[in-house]
Amino acid sequence: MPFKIYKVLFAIIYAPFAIELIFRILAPVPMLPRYVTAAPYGIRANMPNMTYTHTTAEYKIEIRTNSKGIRSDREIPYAKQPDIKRIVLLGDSFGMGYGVNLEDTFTAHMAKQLNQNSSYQVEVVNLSSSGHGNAEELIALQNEGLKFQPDLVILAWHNTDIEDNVRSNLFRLNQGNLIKMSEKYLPGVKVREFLNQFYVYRFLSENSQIYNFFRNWAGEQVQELLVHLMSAKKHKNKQETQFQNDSTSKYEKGLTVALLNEIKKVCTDNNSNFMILDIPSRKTRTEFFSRIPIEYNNTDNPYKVVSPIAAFKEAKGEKLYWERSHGHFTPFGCQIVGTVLADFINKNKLLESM
Amino acid sequence: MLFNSFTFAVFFVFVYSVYWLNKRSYKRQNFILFAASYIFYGWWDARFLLLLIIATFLDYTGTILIDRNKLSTKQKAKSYAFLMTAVVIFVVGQHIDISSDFPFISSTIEKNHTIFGWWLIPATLSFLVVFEIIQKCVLLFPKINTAKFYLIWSVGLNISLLGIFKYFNFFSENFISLWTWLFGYRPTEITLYVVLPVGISFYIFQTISHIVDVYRKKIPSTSSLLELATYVAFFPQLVAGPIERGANLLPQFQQLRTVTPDQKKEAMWLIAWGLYKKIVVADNVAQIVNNVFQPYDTLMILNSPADGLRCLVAVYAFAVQIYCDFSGYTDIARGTARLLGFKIMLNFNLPYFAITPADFWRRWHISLSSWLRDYLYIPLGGNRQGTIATYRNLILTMLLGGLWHGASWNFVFWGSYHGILLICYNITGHRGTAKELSTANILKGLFMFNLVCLGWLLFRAQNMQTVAIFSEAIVFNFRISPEAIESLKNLLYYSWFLIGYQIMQGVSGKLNFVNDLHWFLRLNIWLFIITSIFRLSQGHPQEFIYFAF
Repeated sequence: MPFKIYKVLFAIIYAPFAIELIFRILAPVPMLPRYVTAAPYGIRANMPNMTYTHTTAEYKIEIRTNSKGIRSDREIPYAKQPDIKRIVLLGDSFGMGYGVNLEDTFTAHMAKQLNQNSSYQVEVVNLSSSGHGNAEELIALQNEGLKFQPDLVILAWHNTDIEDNVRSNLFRLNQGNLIKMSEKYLPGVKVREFLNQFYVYRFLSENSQIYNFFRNWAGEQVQELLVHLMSAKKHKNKQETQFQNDSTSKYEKGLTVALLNEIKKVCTDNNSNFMILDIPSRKTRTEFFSRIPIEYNNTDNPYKVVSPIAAFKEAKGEKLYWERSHGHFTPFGCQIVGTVLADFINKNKLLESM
Repeated sequence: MLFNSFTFAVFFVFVYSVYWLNKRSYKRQNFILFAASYIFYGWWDARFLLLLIIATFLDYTGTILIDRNKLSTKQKAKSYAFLMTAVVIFVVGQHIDISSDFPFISSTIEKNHTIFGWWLIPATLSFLVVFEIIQKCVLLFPKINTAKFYLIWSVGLNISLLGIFKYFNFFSENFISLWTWLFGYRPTEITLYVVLPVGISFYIFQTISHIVDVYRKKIPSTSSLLELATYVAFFPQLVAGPIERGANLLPQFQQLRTVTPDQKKEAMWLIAWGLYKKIVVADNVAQIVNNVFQPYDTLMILNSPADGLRCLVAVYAFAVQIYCDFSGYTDIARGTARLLGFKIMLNFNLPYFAITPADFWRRWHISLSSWLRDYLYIPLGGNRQGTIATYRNLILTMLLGGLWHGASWNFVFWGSYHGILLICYNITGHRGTAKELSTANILKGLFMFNLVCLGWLLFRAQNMQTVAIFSEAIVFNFRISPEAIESLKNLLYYSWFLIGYQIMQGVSGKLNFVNDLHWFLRLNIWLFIITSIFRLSQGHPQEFIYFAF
């Protein structure tokens, strides 16, 4: 009997180490900790002065933020030197450069190319933060981005923005007008801030396969449960659901367009150029798609939008997105995006004063 | 409700707890199992329950009439009330709110489906009156072999149920095609918009075997409707077998049940191993299969692929997928039944280690192949009426075995193909099983595995063009591409442990060899299995292939 108890005790202690090892050998879990904090203007922003790693089966990279929470190795003062052209980037994890080291981000490639053969120095202020939608990007621009006196604002638009804009409930559309609904959107930030105080938590989120697996799994279960509960409610009245589905889809698109209009207006009012980088999603290595609700191939389109899809197709099946984690760009994908952006900016003279 | 879902886990824990709280009364336990089984089956669509109830009614009344010539008043009251109550609930329920957007059964004019529903009450009443008259009439004619009469009656009605719900449209379409070809004009089309109820082939075959066993005096009929209804609907094996025999399972409902700690351990292992086979192997390997087959399923592509190796890998992958999908289900079924104190039959015994077709059918879907042997092949004459008759019986049995899987020509060809294999091996005198591990047996086994895989191509392909295209690619276009290598790597990644495990099973001669290992090794295997199930799951529970049969 005592031997049995020893066996059970041994199994309890041994199991986590064995499972961790099995995870690492069998199918490593992407470990992408997200260090965000509450910005004074009510949305999530990157924690300042952080250094942490992202590890997946395909890559290991380091993320460093400066005292303003910007992914950069140096401090960027608000005041702008006369010989500097500033680009403010608004975006989510794609914009922030998840999946690549700082020198491989598309903003780094873009800046490098813009700095060649030019009389000015280009400086990128990357205000992107993982999880941001266009509503948060607008607020970040108004409260932080404008302080940097940007010559150009680039919005890295991604397919998840449509849902993020509705979910955050920061803005709503009322008869075509954008109405501010809430001053705050800080999902899970308090819990994260609390947990991040502890070294053990930070260690586990950056190093433990088991922890990351169960955190992702629990998150997915909660999301599924919420979707299930919401769809159960909707099924009470089929016709109403049909109506809601149609109108929600139009509403989501309408809200996104209204937010983009507002960001453009803020830029124009502050003498900054504005453009959109349409970040596509991957179907296969040679097929890509975007859900951006703007017909930017039309000549009467008011936006300056660039998409790397044509350049991606020319890559003929090269690996442009990481395939075994959350599908961010590879260094090669970033290089193409950076080149496409630089070419577009030069061609449209977007760094020249308005 | 899928075995591989969280819903089933919660359901089973609840049923298990309530069930063992009532361990002193097997009758109460039977009632719990009956209720649980009906909830389990009704989870797909409550209207499917009506068919289950009809099958139970036919089995109950049929076996008593075969065994005892007549039904007692109590037996009549119970069975008639059971059927009528179900019909009334079904019809009224359909009128209140069927909720689904598809009628259970309807004429081609969908609007009339509710009118059809109301007709069920008088139709059932009329059926019961006719049934009553038949019982009286049979008693008036002492020369009639009543047992045989009721055998034909109940088996015939069971087969009719299967025919209507599974084969009506198939035979109707093919009859029309034949008529058009013979007489030059197309007759009016009759199509029933019928949903194929989950697992109908399994429980209808189970009731037929019970009826025949009572007729053959292998077991007596039971007066307990509850016992019989629970036997027919027993949830662990209801929707995808094993097709249990009354002689094995029914007596287990008539006694107190116990489960020893060793049996619990064995049951837990069966469940874990079944989930591993389904979630880790079958569901992931299905993607390799579907990537190659799907464009051909819908005839989107008709040209032969340039890399025959990828087609071959897809066929091998399907062999792995279907084995793990089906045997995984059986393992979970056997494990859950064992936890409830029941022992249900083995359905798979290392089928890909077979060295002859006969050996394969003694190892693959054993409950169906033995059913076909006992209730079809042997009654047809088996091998007792000369060589030609034996071959005819083999072909007929395998052809019907193929058709059992589905109303489609590819299943007919698959069954016939196996019939031909059996005959060819019979002619050459190869009917045995591997008794020792030798190079010759390994080579024979590999050859047999490839023959089985050729059969799987017939089974998986949705049309004969696909079979031709794949065969052409494998034979004449056998080239290696990066995609083919990637598919092969993925296949090995998901099935390496299964292959190793099966080799160990084969070498040790024990299906449950894990029990004999050192406890530390067992602990590691358990951790590996559980971790893999969680880590390599597709996220959403996938249906089992055999639910469609």
